[in-house]
Amino acid sequence: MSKTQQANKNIVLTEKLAMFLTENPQVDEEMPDNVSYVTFSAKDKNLNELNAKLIESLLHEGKQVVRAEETKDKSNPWKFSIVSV
Amino acid sequence: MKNPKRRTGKLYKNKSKSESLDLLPTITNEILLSEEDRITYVYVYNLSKNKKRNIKQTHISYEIKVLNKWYTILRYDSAHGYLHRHTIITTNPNNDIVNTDGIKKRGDHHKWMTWAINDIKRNFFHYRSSFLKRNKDIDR
Repeated sequence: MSKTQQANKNIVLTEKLAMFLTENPQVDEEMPDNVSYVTFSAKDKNLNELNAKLIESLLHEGKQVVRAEETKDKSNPWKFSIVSV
Repeated sequence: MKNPKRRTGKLYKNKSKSESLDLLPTITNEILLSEEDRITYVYVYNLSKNKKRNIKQTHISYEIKVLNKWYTILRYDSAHGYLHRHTIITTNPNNDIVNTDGIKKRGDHHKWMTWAINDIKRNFFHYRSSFLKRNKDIDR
């Protein structure tokens, strides 16, 4: 897979989550204010390692962080968990 | 016993390392992509001995204008020592999706800033249409 293909695939992951959150506003409403979602792919382990580091940085910055894990379940495509310090 | 008044070079070096970014000069610039699309980039720098700007932190955002109001829909920053993207989900800018996927990993703040600006120039239409698709009521 080329770098461009990989980048496009990952942009799609972010947009998939953004679309899910706008189509299911109750999910976002249940979350704390001023929250940052960090995506975790169902397949890409390298990406997940980098994003795990990102969570630590965001917490250090004082942000509220929600871990958004992609699942393989089409009826429930995302699993959310609030990350605490 | 060492003279307590004597300062070593190492101490001075540590002091400059811990220099607050708030005290450094900041530059803000805009690039207009169209009447309704713009990139704003901000960088904090210090000057090297040869008067070259060493960028210490950078922040790049992409804004769109809808009904005379500007919205930030995407931003990049290098605040944690590596470049990452914040994708704004709705018109509420406080909630976002943060990730490092598909983003330049190697390099320094200067290279990251150039990469982020070029990414927005290349993909702004895609970012814009995705945001508007999610927020269909924005122009009503």
